[in-house]
Amino acid sequence: MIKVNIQKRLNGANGLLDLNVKLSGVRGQMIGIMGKSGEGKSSLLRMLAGLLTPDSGEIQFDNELWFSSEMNVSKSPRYRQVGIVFQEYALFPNFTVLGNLLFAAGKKGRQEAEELLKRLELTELADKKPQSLSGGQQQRVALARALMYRPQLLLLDEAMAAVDEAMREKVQDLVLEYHRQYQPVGILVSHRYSELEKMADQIYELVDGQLKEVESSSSKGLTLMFSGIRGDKAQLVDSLGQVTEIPLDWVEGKIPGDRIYLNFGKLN
Amino acid sequence: MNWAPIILSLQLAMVTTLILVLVTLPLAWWLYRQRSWLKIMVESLVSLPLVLPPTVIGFYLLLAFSPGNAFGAWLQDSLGLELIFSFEGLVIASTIYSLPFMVHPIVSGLNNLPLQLREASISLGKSEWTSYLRVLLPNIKPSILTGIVLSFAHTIGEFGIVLMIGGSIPGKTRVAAIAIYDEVEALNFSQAHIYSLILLIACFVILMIVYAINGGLMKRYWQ
Repeated sequence: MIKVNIQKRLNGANGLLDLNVKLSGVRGQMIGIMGKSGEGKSSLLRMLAGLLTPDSGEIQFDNELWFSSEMNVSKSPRYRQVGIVFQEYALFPNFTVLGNLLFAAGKKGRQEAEELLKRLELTELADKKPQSLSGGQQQRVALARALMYRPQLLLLDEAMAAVDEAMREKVQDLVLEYHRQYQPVGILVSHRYSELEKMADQIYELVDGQLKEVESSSSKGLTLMFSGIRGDKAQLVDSLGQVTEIPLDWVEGKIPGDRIYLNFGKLN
Repeated sequence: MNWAPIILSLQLAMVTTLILVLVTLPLAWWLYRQRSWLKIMVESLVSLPLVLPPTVIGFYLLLAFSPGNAFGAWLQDSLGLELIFSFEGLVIASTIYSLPFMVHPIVSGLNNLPLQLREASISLGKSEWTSYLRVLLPNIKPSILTGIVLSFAHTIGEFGIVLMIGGSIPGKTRVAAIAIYDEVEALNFSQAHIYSLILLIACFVILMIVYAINGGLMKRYWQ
């Protein structure tokens, strides 16, 4: 589970912006974030990855402190096990497409890398250098590289924006499939509301430096985490850290830490 | 024709360039990553040979290496090194003098790389050093090659600092640039002309290689 409460003053193209983000998410949850350009979405992802230092606040992941201004803690991005897809792709020009994937997973991941390239229709480009690929192809490689790393936090910064319409659905399905299988906390930044609706469990809009929940037209329900037991009640935590109590027998067979999907009162 | 000064110049240039590569790779990484005031100080020290007359650096190195001073005496007594009027002394002096010609292209190449390359590598669990060796350095090969070629050419053309530290001992410290000066002093213009022409052609070819690299002509061979 990730718990974020961070503040950062950004000096962007639109002038000074005070980012004040409170967010929490459980494993297997995909959080969607939309917002205008220059609202600090990419900076937020960079802070979660450890590539940018917040001015103050705290980031906690699975009870481990990644960042705390108060305790002067800042875990290196190297050890956070974060898979990030940069807007600029950041593929390594000296490696081939396959080489980029193997860099993330090591040689043992060759079979998986080839499978992933096949799913993303990149098999024929495996031996090409990334700079010879189109923007959409490069973005698919960047996505595959992030997935190959098996991150515990998957950060997708407009990660499918350059993928052409024909491929987009396949790529979205692949990411969702991976996400279900390996259960990282996912954060997807996108300008496309339809993409967020399809992929995210909760959608937020970053406005004036703060996250505001957006009502989803498809009412997808909520993913909550079974956090513990108090008396005869089970405690569930939502993505904003709010605790809800429900009868204990509703979570029969579940253990604390399990993810529970609540949709119109039904528990799964 | 006495080829010894030409061979000695080439030997000096090769050894100096090799040492410069080994010294510069960690130093360039440090300069690329540092943001403190110490970086400004080290950058200024590295760049000093660009603005100081070679004789000034040569003079201070001569004082430092002299057995009459504490450092020189320590070198001689503890390590058995006599650097004045020796090839080893020339190598050290040349390394210091050509340092900016190796450091500047490499640091500049690193600074021109997209920041995300390093960030992507670190995020994928690689150490700073692994990221430097496997991602950053392979993507600045033209800058490394430029540094190597410039350092080599600059060392071949050194005169002042070589004269101060090594003098003109035939077969030991009498490099081509010194030999030309000696031949002119002896009014042996034909021999001076041959040495000069060899150096002229060598440096011209080397500079052509640098411009070919910077013009992207060599890019396809490196990528």
